[in-house]
Amino acid sequence: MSQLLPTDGPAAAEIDLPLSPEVTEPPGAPQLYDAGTLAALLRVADLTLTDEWQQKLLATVNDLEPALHRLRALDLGETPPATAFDARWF
Amino acid sequence: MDAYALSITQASELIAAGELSPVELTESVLARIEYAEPHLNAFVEVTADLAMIAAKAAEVEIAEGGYRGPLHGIPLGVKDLYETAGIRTTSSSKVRADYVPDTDSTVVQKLLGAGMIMVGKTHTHEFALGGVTPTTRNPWHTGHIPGGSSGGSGAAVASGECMVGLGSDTGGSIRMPAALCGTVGLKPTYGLVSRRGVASLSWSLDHVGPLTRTVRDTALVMDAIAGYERSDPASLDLVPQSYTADLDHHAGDDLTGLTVGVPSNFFFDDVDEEVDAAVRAAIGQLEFLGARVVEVTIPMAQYISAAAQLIVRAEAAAYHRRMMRASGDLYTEQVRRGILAGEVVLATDYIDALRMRTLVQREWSAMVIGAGVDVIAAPTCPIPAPPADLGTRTWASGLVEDLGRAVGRYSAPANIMGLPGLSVPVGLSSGGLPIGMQLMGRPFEESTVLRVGQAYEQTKATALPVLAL
Amino acid sequence: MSDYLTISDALDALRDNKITATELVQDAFAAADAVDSELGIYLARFDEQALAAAAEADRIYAAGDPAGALLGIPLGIKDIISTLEGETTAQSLVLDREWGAAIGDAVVTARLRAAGGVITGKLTTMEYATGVPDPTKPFPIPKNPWNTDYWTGGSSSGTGSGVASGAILGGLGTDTGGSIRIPAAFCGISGLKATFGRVPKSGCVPLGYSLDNIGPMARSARDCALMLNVLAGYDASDPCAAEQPVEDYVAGLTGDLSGLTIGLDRLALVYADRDPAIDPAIDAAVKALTALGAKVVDVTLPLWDELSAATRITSRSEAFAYHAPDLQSRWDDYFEATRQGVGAAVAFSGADYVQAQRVRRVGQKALAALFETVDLVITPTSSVAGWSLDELGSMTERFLAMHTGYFNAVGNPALVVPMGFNDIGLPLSLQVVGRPFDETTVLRAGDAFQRVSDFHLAVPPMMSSVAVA
Repeated sequence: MSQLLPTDGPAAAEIDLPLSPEVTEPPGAPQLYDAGTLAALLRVADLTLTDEWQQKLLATVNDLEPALHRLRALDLGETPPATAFDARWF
Repeated sequence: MDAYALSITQASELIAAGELSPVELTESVLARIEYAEPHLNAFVEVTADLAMIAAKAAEVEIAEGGYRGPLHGIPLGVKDLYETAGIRTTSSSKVRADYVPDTDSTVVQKLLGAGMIMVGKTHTHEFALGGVTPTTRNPWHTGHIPGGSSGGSGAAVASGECMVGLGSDTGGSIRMPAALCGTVGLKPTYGLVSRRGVASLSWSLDHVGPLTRTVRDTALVMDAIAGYERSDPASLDLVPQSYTADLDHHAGDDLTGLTVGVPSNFFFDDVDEEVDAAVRAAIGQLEFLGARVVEVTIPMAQYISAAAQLIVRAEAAAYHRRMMRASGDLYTEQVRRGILAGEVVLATDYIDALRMRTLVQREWSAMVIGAGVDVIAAPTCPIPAPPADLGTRTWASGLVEDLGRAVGRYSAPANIMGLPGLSVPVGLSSGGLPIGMQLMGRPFEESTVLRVGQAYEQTKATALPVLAL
Repeated sequence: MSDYLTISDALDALRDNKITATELVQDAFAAADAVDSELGIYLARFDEQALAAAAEADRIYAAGDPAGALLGIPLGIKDIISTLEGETTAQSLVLDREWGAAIGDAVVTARLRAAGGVITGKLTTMEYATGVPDPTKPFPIPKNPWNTDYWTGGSSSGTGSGVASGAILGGLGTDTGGSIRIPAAFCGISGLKATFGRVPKSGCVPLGYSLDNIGPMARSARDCALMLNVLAGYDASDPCAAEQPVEDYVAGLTGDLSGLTIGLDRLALVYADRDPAIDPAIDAAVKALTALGAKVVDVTLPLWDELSAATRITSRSEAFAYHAPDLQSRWDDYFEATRQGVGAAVAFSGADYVQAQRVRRVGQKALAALFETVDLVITPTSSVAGWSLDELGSMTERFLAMHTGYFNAVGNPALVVPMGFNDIGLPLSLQVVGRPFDETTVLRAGDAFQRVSDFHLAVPPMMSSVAVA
């Protein structure tokens, strides 16, 4: 499976990411989830929950939303993910 | 024979002996481009002036005793996903129409360092998201597609417009155009060749590699481009080896001692009769050459393509997220639709697809080790190159399949497991279109795959297509 | 409680025949007998097997050839790690008990045992190593030995309270976003999340595949080094295990920090309601580290919010994928916090998850650049000394107050050590972070600090009433 290999130094030739305050400011994007969208996502995930639990989960999902905005706001250019598959057999 | 039609092995011997100048070779190739290009449109851009400058420099360098090796002075076509310093890199997309990188991608850097002469940038299916390459036509029949996504490289190599075409392969994009255009194409093991500087379709499944006209030519390129690089997270730091030396070492040998697995499921399902016959005949040749042929059952076949789909969709959506929002209108409709569909894949489904990959790897390795198989032989594509207007085909199973999709149906396993996959030409259909056989080896066993491919290749005469232009 | 608070002291005493392993283990069980009903340390105790192992250790000591780096030391195992004895429950009604039974000893358990460690039992956790207690479920609620109205922190709760109360001398925790470091901090002990891949984790129930770590928790950094010597090293059964050479972490404990540059990030702004005792404690720690020879400079950890968010999104998404098969059918059996935390991952798309993995890579690069100017980074482990069990606060509040998840995203080693107490006598904690695979320097700094401080040897007031053997 995947292996996260911490860098031993800055890897060459990926984008130089500007770590400026503009980039790290909270983006203040619109709210993503309401009861309807959560219900739709649960349906996609094939998970049926009671109304009470959908309400509870909606609160959690809204709690997580800033984290999502934070990630989406970052321009990653050509940066690949941190993990990669290992084709070798054991 | 015109210089453009030589193999690298032949040309490099002449160049090393001073009997062929890189300038003559480049001129021959550029003339061929001028002749064929109006009908094939394999190139986004032909860099003729730069090529001539490089060829003259190579000529001088070689004359002064600075011969760099068998790739010195050899013409190269670079898929337009590969970044090239100072030369537009468009990914065959209006989205990147004006993108001029500052640096070369790692593979280009290595090949130019080995003395190759870049003659131009070859077309890709836009952002590598498709197996058709609608910009470009097949040199064996210009009414047909070259396959994709490395369709420009396939058409260019097959027609003599260059001797090496660089490709990338996320779901067959090296092997499919190789098969449909009648060239050799190698998708190396995941982690063997650095992908730095090549536009990504799906980091988890992207591979880069060459298309050439002979197996040994592929080995020559692999000797130059394999190697570790930290900035590709998939790259593995392994002991380097010489694929050419290994091929030459086995040059006189038959295939005694090697075992070829022939799948009883998946790879010969819903296959064109002529493809089936040509590939089985080629497998017969391998047996004649001394290989043991055994039947194998592909494990989890129905899951492999599904996992690949989900992985590609989610990762492509991430890669394109910003560009899609900034310039969605500039994408072609089919590619835009493909990327947008990935936006709604759930994270958990994506992760499950990655987990499935681990499971498939375990099952596949057990199958291969259990059967003592060295390579699995199968058709590269279920059909020869379909006509440019594609259309559908109704298979015996009842499956009605879009032909643009059909070409990729056998590709996913080698991507999902990262295995070396070599496509070698095994004949022509009654319509005069090439058929390819796919040889899939064990991880990092490129040598074995190339050895089997070359042994087969030596049993038959090869020729460039007679361009009916 | 035993006279010997640390593993190191206990080993000296065993070698000097001042105590037997049997006595040591009996003392540990006596401490547990006295407080476990109140503190909720154990899910299962292996008295008989532990005493047999202790007797065997005594036989080896008596024979005069005490091989085994942890010979005779009572150690507890967090109940998401499999052991030969007893069940592995993940403190959940959901986990199939056959899972652990089929595994027996996890790699880490086997390594501790092979080093002579005496496995005393299975310790409490938050369900599946995530969330907070659920009083409606039939499991003990872990309480903090320093104030039983307070939470131990999670998820390696029983290991934290067990070490602090002398019920064990050391134990295993796991850490996906801080689950070793937080209970170590709140219970006033030391704990190490080593570099991702340093300690193999096969035989441990996964939470977030790409973030999970198993590591030691004990009173001192030196004890953590002793345990890491046993735990570290590649094992093929864990696909995430790193093939990196292992060092002698105890030999690296020189007590000398001269020549080291330590970056201090107070993380003063990430959580509004900061315990006022934190900054004076940090000032004192900085003074101590400076006196030990280090140069301390102010730094800003790059991309704090982004990497913390990446850990959050990654761990939830990976956990959802793992739990998906049971989530629907066993929904009510899960702890409320597990349902909340894991279920919320339906909100993430595959592209979001991929984005998080790309952010992690950017973060690794940015942090690597910072580590070109410093050898270590220190931060407060948390901006608070914990929460009372009645007021655990919202998920986001907890997330913002605890400063550990960032280092799971990047993978660097992070040690926490006690650095004082707040105004109501709850422990405060310092986090020491190093370069990838440089556990040696991290442990050296923690150990050096503990040579000039005694916070790690403080005993919770409630233990003073427990008889000493």
